[in-house]
Amino acid sequence: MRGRAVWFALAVLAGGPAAADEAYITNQNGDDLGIVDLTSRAVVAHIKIEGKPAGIAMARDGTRAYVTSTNGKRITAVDCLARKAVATLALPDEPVGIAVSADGRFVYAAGFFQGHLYKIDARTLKILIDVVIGGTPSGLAMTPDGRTLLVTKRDANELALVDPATLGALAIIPVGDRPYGVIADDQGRAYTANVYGDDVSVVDLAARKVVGTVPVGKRPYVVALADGKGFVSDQYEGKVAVFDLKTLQPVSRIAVGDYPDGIQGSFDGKSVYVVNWESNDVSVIDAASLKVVATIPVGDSPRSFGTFLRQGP
Amino acid sequence: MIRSLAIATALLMFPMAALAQGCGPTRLKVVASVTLDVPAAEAWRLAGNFQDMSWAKNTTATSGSGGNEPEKALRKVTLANGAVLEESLYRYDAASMSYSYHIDHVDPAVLPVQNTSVTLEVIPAEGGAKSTLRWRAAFYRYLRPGEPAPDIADAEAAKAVSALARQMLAGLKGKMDAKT
Repeated sequence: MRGRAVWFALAVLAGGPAAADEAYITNQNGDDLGIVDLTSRAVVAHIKIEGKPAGIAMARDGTRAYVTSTNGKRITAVDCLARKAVATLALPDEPVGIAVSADGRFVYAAGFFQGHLYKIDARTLKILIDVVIGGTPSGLAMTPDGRTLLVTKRDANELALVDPATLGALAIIPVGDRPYGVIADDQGRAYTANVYGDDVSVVDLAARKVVGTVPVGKRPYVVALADGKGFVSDQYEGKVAVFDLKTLQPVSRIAVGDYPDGIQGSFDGKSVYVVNWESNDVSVIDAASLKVVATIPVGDSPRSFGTFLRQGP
Repeated sequence: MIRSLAIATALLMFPMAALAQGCGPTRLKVVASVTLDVPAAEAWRLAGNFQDMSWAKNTTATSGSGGNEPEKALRKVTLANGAVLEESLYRYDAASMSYSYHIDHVDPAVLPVQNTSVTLEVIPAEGGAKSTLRWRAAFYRYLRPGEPAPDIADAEAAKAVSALARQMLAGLKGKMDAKT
């Protein structure tokens, strides 16, 4: 609450971020971060991020975003109130997936090739813990309760459940073929998009096992949740596959832009934002009617792999 | 059998690279297009058959099977320089005049890339009198031990794909544009 009040005061003083929700778009080949106002549906700011930015994790209070640069082998902390990069951390490896703790104090990232998992102090960007998890760690996500860090080990076909305090492995769960993006719901389930399996593994986090598999389109990348449904970016189809979270049955396929990558449900659950890498735009899906209601042009090769939406005050 | 032999050889020659292949963290794109002086339907008749690449001036032969059926159709395209591309069709849409395929195998010495997907499409232009033939690829650099800095290795991969696209479209009548 206090953070919100300060945020609002700063916003008023600076004439900066408005009250709208925003989408932070990592334009990988454009080497920048575009900020989209989701009310006006327009890019309102650009922040230069070197080194091919790809992954992103938004702090839950919206004050900070953390961006991985693959080729640049670094993490950049962005002050979302000032809309500027404020710190960087050089890593020995190329990071892709990134997550932030529920309280915003810690950032988690993984090195893609060497397979290290890092716990990082969000304020100083110093590495606090460094463990080897292996298996080409790709997608990272925090459970809503903040008690479990989820990591897909793409080339091991596994989902790792990790203690965010110690980085100790709580469980290693076999999932589908080449899991990439991962997300957890508030019902104790996690969903991995299996790039080569063309399906989604549904994991019961308490039972620590796969309880369902949902067929989707070709080359699924990331799963989003909204309105009781799962939304999956199918890169080779230029579509989003929709499935019912209760029945785990396919519901629809929605044509979006080319090569959809990052995808996330809005905070009110009414919309889903899909970041289309090849066509350089963002599709806005109405989560109830399952129609694309807007397409927003953004920068070059947008990815936004992770949590890229920022909630307005 | 032949395929497993080839993989085994690759493992012996490039143990690190063989382990590391798969999608890398930085996806690259190349888009090349040429405006043709014929309507779209005619351009699609020229270029819309997955089993016939004779329109591409840098190819000397195409052999394959499965027609234009997604997930079934395969082809081997021989380039003028002798290199062979093994490709599989995964999407074919005659109504929108486009198809998409994956390059399943190519000698990385020819094209230092992996996991390449390509969409070829014909788009009406200039009120329908002309058409644009567009070739767009998504790919990742081929990983090899001792590679230069990622940006340099990416640029080399993109340059090779861009050159392939230009050579493919070169000689078609009209104006060409290629960018990475």
